[in-house]
Amino acid sequence: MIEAVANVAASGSTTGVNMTSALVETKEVAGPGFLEALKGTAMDSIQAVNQSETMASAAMHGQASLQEVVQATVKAEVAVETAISIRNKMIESYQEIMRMPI
Amino acid sequence: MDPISAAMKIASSGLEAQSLRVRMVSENIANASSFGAAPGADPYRRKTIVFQPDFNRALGADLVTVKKIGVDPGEFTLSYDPAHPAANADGYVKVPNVNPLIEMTDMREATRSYDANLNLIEQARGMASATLALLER
Repeated sequence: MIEAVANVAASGSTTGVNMTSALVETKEVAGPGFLEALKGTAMDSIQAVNQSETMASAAMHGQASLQEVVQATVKAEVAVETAISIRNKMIESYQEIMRMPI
Repeated sequence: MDPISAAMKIASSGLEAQSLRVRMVSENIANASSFGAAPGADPYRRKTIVFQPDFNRALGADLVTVKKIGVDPGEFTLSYDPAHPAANADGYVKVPNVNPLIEMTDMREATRSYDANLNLIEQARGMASATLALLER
């Protein structure tokens, strides 16, 4: 994981771009690993949010039970929380590396 | 799927099962004095609910589902009321086999079980949040 973070930091510092483009760029360079996991988590949370929205609208039409809606919403909440925590940690690590005196 | 999400999904199936049970109890209580229409006709028959485990391949765990909503084959008691439209030739009316005491007990049990499942969802969510809190400093 630390290597993956270092990769991101390295590519970010060499090209002098912001965090998002650094992520996009290392995706080509780095093989499977941390970034894929991060992407997976992001996709999971997006899917969970979509599902909870579908459920909520189904409930509005009286087609889904209250329990299903709450379950889908809680699931989406946990997924988003996970994605945000990982993103925050990631950015924190990146900034820490950037602050290193050279 | 991670076990915490699975636990929430399973508890949610429990919530649905117990809410169906509450629905059944309310049907029974509401119909406790639904007599037959024709002379000598059967009145409302008490409903029963049967749960069964339902293996979910995606979760690799057993959810709970309602196997069937059946009827209680118990005898109807007779009550003497010759004026009633459903009274038979001897003046007796068949009373629904709903026992309010049994229904109340059933309802309490369903409520407690519902609460237990709700608590489980809350616990699972708390566990997920507490684990994520490790990432924050």
